[in-house]
Amino acid sequence: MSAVDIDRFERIVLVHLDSAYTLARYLLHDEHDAQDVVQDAALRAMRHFDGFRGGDARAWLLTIVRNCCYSLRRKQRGQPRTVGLDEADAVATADTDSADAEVLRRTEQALVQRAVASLPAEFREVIVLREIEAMSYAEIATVTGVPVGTVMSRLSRARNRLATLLAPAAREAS
Amino acid sequence: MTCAIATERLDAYRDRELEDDEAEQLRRHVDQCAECASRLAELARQSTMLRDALVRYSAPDTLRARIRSALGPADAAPLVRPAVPRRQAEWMRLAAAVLVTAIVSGGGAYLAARQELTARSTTDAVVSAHVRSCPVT
Repeated sequence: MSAVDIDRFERIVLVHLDSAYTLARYLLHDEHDAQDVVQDAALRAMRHFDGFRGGDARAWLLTIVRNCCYSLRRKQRGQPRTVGLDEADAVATADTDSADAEVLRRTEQALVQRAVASLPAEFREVIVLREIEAMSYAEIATVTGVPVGTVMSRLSRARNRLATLLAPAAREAS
Repeated sequence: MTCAIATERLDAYRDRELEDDEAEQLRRHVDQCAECASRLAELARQSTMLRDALVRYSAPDTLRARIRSALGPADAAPLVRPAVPRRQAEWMRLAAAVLVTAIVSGGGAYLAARQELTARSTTDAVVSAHVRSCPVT
């Protein structure tokens, strides 16, 4: 790849590295795995950059990242899980006994994060792509490789499940 | 529109993914149905809560550096190889060919001349030795 192509690749694709890393973090729950996967995905994207015909570079990169995440998860399946508490757990256990409003807010955030983390991957990814990345249903369909109708129903089911998971906290808050 | 259909479409309505006419039908239904209005409000509340709680991560600098390094050195080679006009390139090829021909043929001529010189000097030496060995009459 020439320096010109690298420059173009960086301008078109690597500007979406935060999105790529965010998706990987939510799918893998581990920052080191997420970094490895995003690096792998970026290099794959670079190798196939000639075949990229323009259009939505973020969706294109996230599709590769998602595939790499699922490949890693398949490889890891059956291996003992060595990941410790993620940041949601860390926040949840930190200051829950304080009455400070900021701590309460952080506690609620932690509960939401934990609820999202507990969702099956196919629900978690549509929530991340919609609520964090603000992607359209068509873009989410591209990334996840399913029809728009499936995106719609997965989002709906994911939100229903979140509502159930967060209902006790919501009752407490009200 | 029935509540069952409205419930199916509430997410898409909230996400502004419905066609204009569908969205209008749903809006009219929600205006008249407290239960669906409540579901819609709950969706909005959950969405706000999710956006507030979920972290958008920044790719760490170490990751960026690793990718950058794998892509190739930042100051590698010339950014753009200067384009050589076709006509100029043809001239350059012709000049190179002439130069190579000159070197090869010049070298060949030199070797031939040198061989001839060597042969001539050998003949001269043999004749001289023979003359020296002949008795003077």
